[in-house]
Amino acid sequence: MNAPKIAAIPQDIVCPANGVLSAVQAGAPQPEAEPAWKAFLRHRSAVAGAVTLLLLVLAALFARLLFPDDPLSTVAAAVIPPFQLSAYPLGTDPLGRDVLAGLVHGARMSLAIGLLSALVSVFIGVVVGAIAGYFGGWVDDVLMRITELFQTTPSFLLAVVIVTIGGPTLSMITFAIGVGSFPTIARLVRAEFRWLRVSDFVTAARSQGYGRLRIIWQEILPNTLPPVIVTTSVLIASSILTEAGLSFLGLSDPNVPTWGSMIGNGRTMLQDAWYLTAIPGGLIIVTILAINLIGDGLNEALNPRLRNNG
Amino acid sequence: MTRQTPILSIVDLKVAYGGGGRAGNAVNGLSFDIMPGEAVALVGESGCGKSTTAHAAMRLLPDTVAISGGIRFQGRNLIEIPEAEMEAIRGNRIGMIFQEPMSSLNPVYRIGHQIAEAIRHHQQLDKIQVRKRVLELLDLVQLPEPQRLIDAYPHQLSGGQRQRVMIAMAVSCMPDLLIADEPTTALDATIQAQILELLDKLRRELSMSLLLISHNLPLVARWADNVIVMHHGEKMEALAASDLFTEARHPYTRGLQGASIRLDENNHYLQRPLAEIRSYRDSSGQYQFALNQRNAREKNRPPTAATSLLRVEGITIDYGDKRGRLTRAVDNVSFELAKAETLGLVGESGSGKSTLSRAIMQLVRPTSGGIWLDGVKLTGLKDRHLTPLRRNFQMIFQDPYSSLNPRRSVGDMLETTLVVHGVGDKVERQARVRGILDSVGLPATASGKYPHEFSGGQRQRIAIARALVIKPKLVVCDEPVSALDVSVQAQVLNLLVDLRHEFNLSYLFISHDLAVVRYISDRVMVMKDAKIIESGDHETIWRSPQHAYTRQLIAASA
Repeated sequence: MNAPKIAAIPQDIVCPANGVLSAVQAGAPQPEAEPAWKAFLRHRSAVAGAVTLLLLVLAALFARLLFPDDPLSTVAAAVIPPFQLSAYPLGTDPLGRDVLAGLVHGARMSLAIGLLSALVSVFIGVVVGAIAGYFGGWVDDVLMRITELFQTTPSFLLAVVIVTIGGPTLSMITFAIGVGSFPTIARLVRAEFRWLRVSDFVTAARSQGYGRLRIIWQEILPNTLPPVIVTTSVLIASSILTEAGLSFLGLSDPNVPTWGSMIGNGRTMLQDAWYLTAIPGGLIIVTILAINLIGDGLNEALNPRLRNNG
Repeated sequence: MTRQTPILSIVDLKVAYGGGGRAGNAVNGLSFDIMPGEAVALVGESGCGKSTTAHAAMRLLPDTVAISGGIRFQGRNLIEIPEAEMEAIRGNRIGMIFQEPMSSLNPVYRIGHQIAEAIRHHQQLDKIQVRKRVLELLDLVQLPEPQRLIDAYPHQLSGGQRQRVMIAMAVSCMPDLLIADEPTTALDATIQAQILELLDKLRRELSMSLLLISHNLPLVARWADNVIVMHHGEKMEALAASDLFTEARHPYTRGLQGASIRLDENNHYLQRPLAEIRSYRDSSGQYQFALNQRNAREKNRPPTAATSLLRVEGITIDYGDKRGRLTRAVDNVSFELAKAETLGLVGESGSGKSTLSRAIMQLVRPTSGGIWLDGVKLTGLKDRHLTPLRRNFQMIFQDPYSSLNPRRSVGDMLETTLVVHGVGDKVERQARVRGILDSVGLPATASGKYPHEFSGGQRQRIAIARALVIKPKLVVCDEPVSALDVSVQAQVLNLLVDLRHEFNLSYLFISHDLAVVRYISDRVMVMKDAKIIESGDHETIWRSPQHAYTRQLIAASA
């Protein structure tokens, strides 16, 4: 083994001065990283969550095709239990309305509000967090005190107040929920910005004369996305829950069925027809579970440290 | 000569990491012996399996790793014995110290408590005896004032002192074998020498054997008895340490030697480029090594024109903490850098050299003093006026992993720099990107790839390309090769020398490594405690150092 394998090679063949260097010559590069979507697909429970959510979204999108009639109109006798009539597989409520039609139409509102209000919090949170984290100093102090103001106010109470004042429209409910939950994103983005701001590659960008906006937008922001995406999925779930709570309290558009209002209506019949509460409640649980599973999967797929150990 | 039985005998050791990116054998059929009282060094570059071997001997590898072969220690095969038996050996008969003395100690416990833990775990002693033993050990590792340090917390100690504490813990049970995994890599040169001296002394006093893991050839040549050179998990060559630089036969060893820069070797970039070793697999999967020793560069001449490019005058930088206390990082520093000159700046960690480099890059505002580039005063300029001037001075960072944005492709990264400075149209910019990639020795296809697809050396080439793509006059190199393996270091240093000629650059070359600075610089400055204490021509500063600290540095590095 001690014998030389190759004593010398004419230099012009192997190493042209300043020549092109192949990957083999300069030592093996790091093992090729698995693309994030592949890592996500390996995560079975996350895929199950994604499929469930996809079905819900499809049902919501095609609600008008599946149940063309107004879900709030009386279609049959009151309080038919589930699995009795094939025309109304999940039965009817005290006003004789089709429960299944209500659920499918209700999915539109619940999912729309969940998604939109999460987007509102991500937008406010990223802007506030990025500015506070990048500039630091008094800007950071002011923005963070305001953020803490929102964080210490119970977000459900805040949503109740805003919707009571502004009225239960889609945009008002979305705004109310979004404003209440932006501090989570803001604090996360701020923390990421604070350490990325002093990282070598940002220092390199500064020394090359990059402008502030370019550094914030092109250099730092893309690197903060993985944790923001994961947190957003959790926010969507909690927004759906908050919306359900609001409509349970009657703070929703009375002309549109939502899961929360169905629970609210069924509550009075809890002793005689528990399923009127349990069915939409169960659906909320399933939806939130699905979104949380997706969040877990995203976390593992997007977090390189977890991915390597996986 | 009497035949002794070895204290540790590694026989055909194979270690395979399952799955993940590191599939394959990390150690592949390694065999060697350590005799009682002997110091054996495993030397090689990152990924060669030297640390894996050390961890295998301590049975510290995760369960998912498949180990076969023999690790015979005092008549037992450490691979096969039950965990309970291994616990009685680990820390007791075999001690181990690690590279990072910062993270190896628990920050919430006092030093004395942590050493006592190590003793109590293996010995039945009462409280008073334990404390007495801890004091003895602190004294043994030559820590000052053991009575005071025993109640100190890790953060109150310097890096070198922490490593001494780690050594005290490792030798607390008088082990027969001490494994030192890169024990001084994170430490300054002067501290490094002291720690190795201490290990050497302890080895003799406690009649231990020592297994020293290192990437540093000159270091193992000085401190070990026998050296085993490793590559891709296999032994390339085993030889006496004294013969390492004279008798080595294997092309890989010779390549590492040629790539290593030794202070006593007296090489300089004007005389001879560093040898470059390249390893590759032939068609049968065997590793082959090619050694490339280029001839002297006729093109390279020392800078003759003494026109000044960079003028630094009376720069002082104070950092204030929240309580308003000021720390002076740079204290009244003045120097000039001529056109086409390489000025070396040597100093240990905390000497202020990085702060100074950031002040020159206009990333830190000096408290007082001025910096001129090509006659234009940079300090005090508003951002709006400074930004267009930034194309004239660029920087190369130490860590090629953190200095490249992981989410930008190489081409995008290089082109954006040109966009920021309004260079040309798209076609011209892309031509410049291709040109610079070629100059730093990367294929044109690198343009579409992301940083994680490259090795450390290639990443540093990307960082160099980024600095040079807008054709600066001055490049500040802040420890540009400190994070790289020896063979890659040689390639990057050669590249820097070539590029200097090609692009007519001036370098401010900052490093803690005296040998590297000596090789690359025309003139050298030594920095200590925020001040430049000595500066001079690259020859005279080694031959007749004026300052005691410079002499100490040279002695520690030789």
